[in-house]
Amino acid sequence: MKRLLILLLFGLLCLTTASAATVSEFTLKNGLKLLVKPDHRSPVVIFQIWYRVGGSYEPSGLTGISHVVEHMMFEGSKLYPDENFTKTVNENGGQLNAFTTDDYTAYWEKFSADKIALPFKMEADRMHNATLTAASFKKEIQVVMEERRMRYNDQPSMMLYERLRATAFLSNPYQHMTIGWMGDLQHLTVQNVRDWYNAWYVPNNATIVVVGDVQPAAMLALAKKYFGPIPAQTLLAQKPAVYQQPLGERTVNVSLPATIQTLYMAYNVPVLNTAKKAWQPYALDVLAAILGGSDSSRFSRDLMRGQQVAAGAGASYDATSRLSNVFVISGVPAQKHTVTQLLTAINGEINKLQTQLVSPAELERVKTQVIAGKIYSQDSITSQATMLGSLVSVGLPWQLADDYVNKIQRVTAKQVQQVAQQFLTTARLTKGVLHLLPISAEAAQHVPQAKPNVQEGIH
Amino acid sequence: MKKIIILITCLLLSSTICAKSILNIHQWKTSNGIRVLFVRAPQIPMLDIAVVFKAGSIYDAGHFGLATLTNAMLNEGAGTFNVDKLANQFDNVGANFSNTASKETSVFMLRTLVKPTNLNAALNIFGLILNNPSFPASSVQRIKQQMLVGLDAAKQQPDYLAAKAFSKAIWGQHPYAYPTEGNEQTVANLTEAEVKAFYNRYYVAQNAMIVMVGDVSQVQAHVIASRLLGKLPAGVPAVEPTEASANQAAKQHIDFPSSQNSIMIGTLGISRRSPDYLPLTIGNYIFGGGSFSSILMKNVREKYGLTYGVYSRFSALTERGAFLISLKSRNDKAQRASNMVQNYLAQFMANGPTKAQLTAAKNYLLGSFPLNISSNSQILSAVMDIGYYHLPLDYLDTYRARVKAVTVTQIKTAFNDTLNLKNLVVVSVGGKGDAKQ
Repeated sequence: MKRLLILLLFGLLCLTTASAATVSEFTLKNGLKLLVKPDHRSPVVIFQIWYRVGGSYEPSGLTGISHVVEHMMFEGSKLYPDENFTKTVNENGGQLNAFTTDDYTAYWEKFSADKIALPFKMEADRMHNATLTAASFKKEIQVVMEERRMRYNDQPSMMLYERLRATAFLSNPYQHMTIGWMGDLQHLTVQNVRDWYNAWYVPNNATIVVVGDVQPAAMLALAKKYFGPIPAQTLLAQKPAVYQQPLGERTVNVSLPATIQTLYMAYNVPVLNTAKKAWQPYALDVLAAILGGSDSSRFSRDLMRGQQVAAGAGASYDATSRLSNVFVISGVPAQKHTVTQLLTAINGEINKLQTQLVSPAELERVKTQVIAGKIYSQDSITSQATMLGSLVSVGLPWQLADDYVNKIQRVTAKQVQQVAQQFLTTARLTKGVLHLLPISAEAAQHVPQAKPNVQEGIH
Repeated sequence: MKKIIILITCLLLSSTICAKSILNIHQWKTSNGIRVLFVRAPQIPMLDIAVVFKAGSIYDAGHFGLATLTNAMLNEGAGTFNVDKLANQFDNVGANFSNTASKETSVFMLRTLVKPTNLNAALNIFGLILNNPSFPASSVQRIKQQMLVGLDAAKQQPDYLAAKAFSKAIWGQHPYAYPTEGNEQTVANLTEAEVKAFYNRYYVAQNAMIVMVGDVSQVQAHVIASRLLGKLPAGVPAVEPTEASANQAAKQHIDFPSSQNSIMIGTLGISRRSPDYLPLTIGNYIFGGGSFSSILMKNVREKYGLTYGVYSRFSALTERGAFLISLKSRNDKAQRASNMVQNYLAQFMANGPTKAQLTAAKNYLLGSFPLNISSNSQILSAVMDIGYYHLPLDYLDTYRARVKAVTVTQIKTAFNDTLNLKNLVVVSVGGKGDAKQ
């Protein structure tokens, strides 16, 4: 009988834990933020630490430095010298990595939940005790340049996108990609890296997010124990990113050895942090979904299947960046079609949105997808944590993670039309076209080699 | 009272099973013989379904690209619905549908909410697509065009060129050698009749498997499986692939105007059901299996800075797949990086891992095990693997014990039994480097 009772109780407990989890928020005396979202579905946990620094914090000449610091953080700290950071995580059954974007740098470790003290201890150590030696920098900067070659230099469409951004953003620091310009990487010094690390890797510039099979109070205790002793520090004052009103259409042409014509259209638009009216970014989000979000969106239906002028076409917009951003349309023309024909067809779609209201059914469809997507996102502790951390790191409230669905529900057909009219205008447009040069054995002989001013690795 | 007793019994049952088993996999066959595997996951109100047919590109029979085209044609029209209507119907209820073909399989995935209205609508459309595709001629033409654009796009990717050359060198004339996307000549010649014939031959019950993970009861899962594919004709199972014969050594460089070389190094590997699968997987984790702690990453990247990433893997299929090491390195360092990788491989084959390396690997694999089955999508792929390769249902339950039992000698022996360095294939695509290197 006792056994049955226990089982019944167990069943009840299970039911309780399955209900929607809430987020606990704490701030330590040194300014470190901690967000904890219990999720008891599996005995696992993700720990993330977010620093408010990224590509958009970098002045000219130091582009790419935030990402280089991210690499250097794996090169050893006081308690975990050399390769011991990664080694310790792996030998404890953990996985780890990090990522840098325009607006933030984030590090994460995933563990079986009983190991949760470990990432607190380890990340606290490298927050203020990273080694950053000249020898490891000399080697690691080459790894970063290999990454740049792989992700950009040898990807024609990314080279086009990089030039497009450099043109679309006049004075906004999103002008360069997070990876940085190759020339800047070549002239970066270990002292630059140390200065950057010292300036930004402080508790009052960081947020810890923990999602998984843990309790908030215990996480607070761990944060106090390991991060509490690290002193706060005055942050470098950031000058405002002064926005320049776009005064007319810009065009970027890129010619590279490539086989596929590519078109990008970037419109300067506001985001949640900068919009004059709070609903505008949500309407832009719905607009992106109506144009290119799925198989039922207009680009798929009308450009790929209907007119068959596009082999592929999409629209993307992120309302949650720190500064004003771009709404990007991209496309590849179908066989025997040109970029010009594709452009005409896309302009036709934009024109339709500006002159005709989207149907209630179409609007409802987009909203349903957003609601479903929110439920599906519970399947991943990583995406739940990333949502919270990214919002806080750009200065938005983490509550928006839950509130976002409601905000999208309130968007009207009229608002979608209004943002299309106001923001998808030629004055705000930067157009990028990839022109094809032949890929030939001769061309291969003339690839620019890496500059000899970068020394080879340790050996 | 009766209700309470049932509740108690259920709890008892489920907890007994839970205590024994990491994943409580239920397995049965539909009346027309389709194998179904189901794991109940009641925490999130959603359901994932994967329908797998042995209908991949190895069955193209010279019409390369046919399996991919057929796979892509299923949601182009079904019953009385055209492609636009089908897309609307899924999106109207927030369901995610996707389809992909690989060398061996054609897979259809659905993720849907389990709220009855959403679930019913999504299942209706999913069932229609699988059972009653209409293969409109206009869509055949359009998808072919898109495939041709894709093939064109692949030509600007050194990776793709390297993978194509590598596969050819490893498998020769074996069906595994050919890219699932086909090639320009064969794709251009594919016909509607060929698509229909391929569908009729391979999209049959004897050749299908259903895997489900999500918030439905076992009873519901039975109903769903029958409703989805219960009327599919039994048909005949696809002929299993034959074992590929050992590859010859090959060295190939393709000139390409890129700043890095894409390098692929490897030989014929193992089948998924090989008794050496586990020792090889653990050995590979130590050698180059994706973590920053691997021998290849620690040296080629961390010590010498020659690459952003270098990875090795056994892509095990029903028959012997490839053992592949891949990396990219700037043109003037590519030769050095490639030689270095080959030297580390030779060393690893000669010496095997150290005891310390094996202990570290076991610590990782045992400790990280829960991380790999913590979400429904991970559970879905784990169960698809178990189902497709007919692994025992307690495969995950015995995993820890099997990992613990692997020895240094087993790994060394397995590597030497499987890989023959004399047959190494080395492919590079990129600019020519400095001759002195």
